[in-house]
Amino acid sequence: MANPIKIIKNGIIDENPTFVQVIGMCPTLAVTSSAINGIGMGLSTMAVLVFANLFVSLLRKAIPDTVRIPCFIVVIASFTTIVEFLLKAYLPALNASLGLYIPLIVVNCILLARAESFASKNGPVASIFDGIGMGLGFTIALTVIGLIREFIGAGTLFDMTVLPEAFPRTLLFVMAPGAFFTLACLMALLNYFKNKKNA
Amino acid sequence: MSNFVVSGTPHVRSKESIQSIMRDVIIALIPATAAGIFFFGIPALILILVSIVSCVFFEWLYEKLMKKPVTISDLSAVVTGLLLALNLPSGAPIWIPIVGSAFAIIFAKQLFGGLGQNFINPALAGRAFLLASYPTEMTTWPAPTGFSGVDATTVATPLATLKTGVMPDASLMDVILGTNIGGCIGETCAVALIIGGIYLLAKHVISWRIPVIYILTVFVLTAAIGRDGLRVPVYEIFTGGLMLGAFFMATDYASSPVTPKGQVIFAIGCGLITTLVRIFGGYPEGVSYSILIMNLAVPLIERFTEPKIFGALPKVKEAKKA
Amino acid sequence: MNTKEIVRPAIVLLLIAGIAGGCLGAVSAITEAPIAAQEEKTLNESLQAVMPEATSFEELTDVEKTGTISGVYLADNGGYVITTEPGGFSGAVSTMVGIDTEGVITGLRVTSHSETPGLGAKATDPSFYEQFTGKSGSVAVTKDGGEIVSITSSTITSRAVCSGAQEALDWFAANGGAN
Repeated sequence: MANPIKIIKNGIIDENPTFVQVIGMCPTLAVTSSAINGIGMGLSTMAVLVFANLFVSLLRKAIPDTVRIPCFIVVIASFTTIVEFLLKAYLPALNASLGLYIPLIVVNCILLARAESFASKNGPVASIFDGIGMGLGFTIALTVIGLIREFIGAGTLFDMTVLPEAFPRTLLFVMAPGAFFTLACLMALLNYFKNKKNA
Repeated sequence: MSNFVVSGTPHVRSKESIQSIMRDVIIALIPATAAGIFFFGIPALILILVSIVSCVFFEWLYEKLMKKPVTISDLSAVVTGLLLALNLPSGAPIWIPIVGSAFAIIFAKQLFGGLGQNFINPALAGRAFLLASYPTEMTTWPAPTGFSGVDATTVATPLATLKTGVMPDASLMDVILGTNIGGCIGETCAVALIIGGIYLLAKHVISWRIPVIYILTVFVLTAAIGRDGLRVPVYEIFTGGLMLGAFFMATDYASSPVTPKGQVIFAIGCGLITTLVRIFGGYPEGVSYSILIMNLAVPLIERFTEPKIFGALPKVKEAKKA
Repeated sequence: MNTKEIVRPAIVLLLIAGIAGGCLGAVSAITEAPIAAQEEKTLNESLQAVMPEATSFEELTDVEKTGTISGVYLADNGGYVITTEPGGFSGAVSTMVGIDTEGVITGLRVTSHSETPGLGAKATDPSFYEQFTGKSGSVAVTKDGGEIVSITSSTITSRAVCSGAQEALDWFAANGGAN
């Protein structure tokens, strides 16, 4: 078994779900209008991912191949619903801004992809670390996109105003097209540095 | 035998170059530009200059940074800058054309490969970006006070007034000449735009299909649908950015269809979307969005209107194998 | 394919789904009370925001709801809080209007909307909604001859909020009125 640090680094850098694997695009584009939303979505996804990975890994020998996908989905959907209940009950403020998107975690392909390609082939401990790594990678990506978008589009960082009132806000960046522009520019930048390093 | 040189197509070359076409477009825009400066005064002149200079600068900068051949001498960036400025309200702050130019040149044009490779009109992409990002700055229309030096009050554009179901104060003559109406620097004087358009048609820089059919479609549709109690198709075609869009932006070579049939479909599509936005949409004017949307449909239009290759046999449908 | 290959996966899937369902039921049972409490608290807070003088509210279900009115609440001090859903620039603009026994607006909030950020979305700025406090009879934007200064470049949204407030005032006048 690979060591935990390597697995976590793999999730954050080598196989970053957003910038390298380009999966889970729906929440990435939809909720990143501010950094707080990005963190909230990222951490909620991470919570579901860790538990879903753990249980899929524990059950991997009991689950027959023919019904593995429905089984994974049942596990993922259950944990998503639990997170939704908990947010509603104890974190109403976060629920107000993310409420719509939490059920979408079920269809976030990061979860199914990790269940299929990692948790169903590795032990529970490694799977937990994979969930943490991928979750962190996703959270960091969403937070960075959110930070850039809210800085340019609303002049704030973590909801605190940093640009003077007179400075124009480029509203497009807090609207949907801004998500595409920001993601594209960040990916171009990362690929540029990667190519430079490999060259 | 050395007199005969074997070469690939094209065998017939015209004297036209990108530079000469762009020069013709600039010449054709001179009346509208002059009218814009005449009506909106020094601020309009400054915006036009800033816009042209920054478009050329960003083109140069990008090509330098990417180590590509510098193509600013083909004048296409000048045309983009001029068109962008003509699409701005004269009261826009000075940074508006700079940001718009950067978006138009870098995002809409160069990232897709530069001149001829852009799938949407760069000037319109720049305008759409500005309108979505800075709606207050982009929809504040100073009254046309010219060089009188009077602090301009803001006015509603005729289309915005029409939208509320009221006939604007400006007469039909006003909207044709551009007197006493608010709007973008280059769109208010319809007659100047038509003169420029006729010049381009006479020089065979553009074909008549897109502008004529586009304007005709808007005319027919506004006559057919009408607004709540207002049915003024003649007035509608002279207001807003229709003339500017139809003659100078829908006809952009890289982002409009090549085939005659395709151009007809493209123009009807533009006219349809423009009318729908004007009458039912959230914005008073739909010219820029309609052209941008139809730009996106061009590859599809081209595919369906591809002419038959001379002498080629029609494709025989594969025999049904049950 | 023999029976074993069909039965075993089915049983495993059934078991996993059953256990997952049981867990969800348990979590739901635990969180049911806090969720209900949170929802009530949120509602009460927003109701109090438009009617600071009242402490408790009761939803009236048997009243006639005209126009886009979606809910009517009776406050313990005799005033009403009315929620409306007038159409804005892009979809409904949910407003909540508090009206006291004299027919005067005690407060107005835009509770949810999908208006353009930076334009119509400014309807949630205090500088806009506080204009409504103290108004009675009829409200309209200055363009339509009223006293409400519209949000810059967002007349449609401003009009929507005004029409929401107007509907609430009209409902109040028709059902009880100033007494």
